[in-house]
Amino acid sequence: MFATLFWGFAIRLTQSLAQAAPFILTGFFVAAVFRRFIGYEKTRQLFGGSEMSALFKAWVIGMLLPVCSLGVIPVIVELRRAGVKGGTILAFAMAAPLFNPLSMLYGLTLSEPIAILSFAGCSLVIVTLVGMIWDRIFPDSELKGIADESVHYGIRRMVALAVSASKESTGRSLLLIVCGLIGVGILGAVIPHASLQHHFNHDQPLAPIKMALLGIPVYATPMLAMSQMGMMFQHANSIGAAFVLLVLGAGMNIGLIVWMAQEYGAKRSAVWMSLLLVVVLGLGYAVNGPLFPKDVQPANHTHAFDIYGQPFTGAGSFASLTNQSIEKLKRDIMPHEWYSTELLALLMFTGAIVRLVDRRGRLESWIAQAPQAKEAGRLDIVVPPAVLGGLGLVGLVIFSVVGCYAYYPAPADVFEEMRIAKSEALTAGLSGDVTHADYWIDVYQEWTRKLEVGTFLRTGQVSDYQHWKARLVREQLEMLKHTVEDGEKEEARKWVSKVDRSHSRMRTAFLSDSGSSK
Amino acid sequence: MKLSIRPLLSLLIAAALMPCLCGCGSSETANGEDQHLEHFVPAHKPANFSKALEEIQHRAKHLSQHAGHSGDHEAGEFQELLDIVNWLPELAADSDLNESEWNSANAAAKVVAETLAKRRSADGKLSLKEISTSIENELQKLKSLVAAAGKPEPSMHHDHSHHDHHHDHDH
Repeated sequence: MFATLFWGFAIRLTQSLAQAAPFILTGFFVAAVFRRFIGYEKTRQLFGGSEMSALFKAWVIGMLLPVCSLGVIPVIVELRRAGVKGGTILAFAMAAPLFNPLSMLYGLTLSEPIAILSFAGCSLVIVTLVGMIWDRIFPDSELKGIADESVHYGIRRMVALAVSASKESTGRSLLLIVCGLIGVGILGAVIPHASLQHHFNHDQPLAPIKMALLGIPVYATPMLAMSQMGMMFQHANSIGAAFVLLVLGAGMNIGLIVWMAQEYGAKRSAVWMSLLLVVVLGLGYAVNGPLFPKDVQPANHTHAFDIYGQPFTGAGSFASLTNQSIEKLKRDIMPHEWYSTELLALLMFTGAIVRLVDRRGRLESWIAQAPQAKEAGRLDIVVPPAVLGGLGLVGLVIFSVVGCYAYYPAPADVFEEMRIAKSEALTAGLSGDVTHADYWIDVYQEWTRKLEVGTFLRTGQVSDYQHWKARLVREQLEMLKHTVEDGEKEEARKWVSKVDRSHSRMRTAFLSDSGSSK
Repeated sequence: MKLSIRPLLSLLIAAALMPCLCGCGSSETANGEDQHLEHFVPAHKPANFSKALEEIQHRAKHLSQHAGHSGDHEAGEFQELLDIVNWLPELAADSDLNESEWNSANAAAKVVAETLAKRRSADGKLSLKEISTSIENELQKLKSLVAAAGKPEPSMHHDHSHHDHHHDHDH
């Protein structure tokens, strides 16, 4: 029992940390850019203006920055110090983790594109409405009088960026991020294995409310939330619950709630959460019918939330669960997540060293010094820090857009990558190896979505014909997965053969100009 | 850093509420029976494109001949006919039709679906006389694609159900 609880907690916490690491790193550096380059006055201007325009800007900037609900924590800590209004910060905190260019593109393959565009529109309604009402109820929520810490040009500002990011990575933001991770870990310990499969079916009127209960403590990266929504659309589960998952699952976590309570107190936080829940659930129920996929036969389950419960079924000895856990983490954590986690650890280590060595603040004093004026040449232009900071943020956005092309390769490259996943998935299907089949079928399905997005990015369209070909492969893989899980060998053999045929047709549809299958 | 007790309490309360969401055990129902994971495939879903066309022709003819005679039963049969027509794009995609042939099939299926939909008035009343004649042209177009669709897909359709997973199963 203890071993199940312990490893449930540890695995979910570690998985979430690894998934969040790239976003947390981004968050620390974006926060440092706001503090050291852009400065508090310019930050207030950036997020300022009339009430509506401030909230709209918070939504747009949030949508463009590649952060998740944990990575956004250092950024909002900085926005608070900069004196940005409470409603605007909270709107930004909600909007930033919901979408990024990668997840938005992925979302377009879920169902009709109108579904994902409606979800994006609804997220704007949420942050605007809730932010506006909250700001009206609690005006003057912003902090005042915090000294600007932007720095002068030269080597100082580069050092300042590293110092700020590393110190924050061992400071308050870290504790808040840990709170968020603990929330996911607790779910992993207490929710029985695979017990969430039947709670979010399309015919369950309480599905969005149950999702609200689950969504607050869970942590999901924008891509994870989007792929979970993909599974919900594929199984025709409750669309209202899928919307609530996106807003609360991707947009909220316990760390954010703790931060809110610390900064604004229990009453204001409770008002924000109540407003948020009313609007999110209202919209969830409103979109439930109109966006329901009419051409999908509803399944009576979903696998989308298996990752939030205990990873193992039944009890086992501590030693055996330890071995299984290590194997699981090795298999599930992607190489880029390991690299990001290592970089994050390096940043934290640097932060700890700076804090230890520079207890008297000499480094900070040196950073704050103005450089001695030198006679500059005509071409030796001093770029104002705000310009540099702005360029940094714009560069980040451009980088994430360019990153889409790497994440979603050209169709020919996708088929090369898909070859391994197909071979592993179908072989596991034939041999009846459930764990292997489950893993590789997921990877294979993921590639079919990447195929659609990669095609869309390069040609500007995915035809209905191509969409159907990819969708059929996904649906047949789902059936194969179930037959393997049931140990139905003969049935699995038939599905393997069918997937193989559909794969060939999909390949022809995407790689041949005419789409001829013969 | 000041860590207030209230947020931590909320965390504990949320954790305590989770078992209410998931039930006490795994996914057993109240009466103790296992819930099955099912991908429901309706019994009237044809196995392939060619079978679907045969079904549409047969069912439309039957409805035309018995128009106004079978009451509620008629409404059910009409709905099943519409379902089959709506499955045509999927069944055509699950064949060897190339893109232009599939586009023709998709367009013809849409016309058939629209023609059939007009036979049901706003108050749900059906007028099914000569329904098979009204879709005959489009059906012929669709039938002309059967040869291009290649070898018909074998029937895979039966309710797929299985017990809840009892293994490490993540997505």
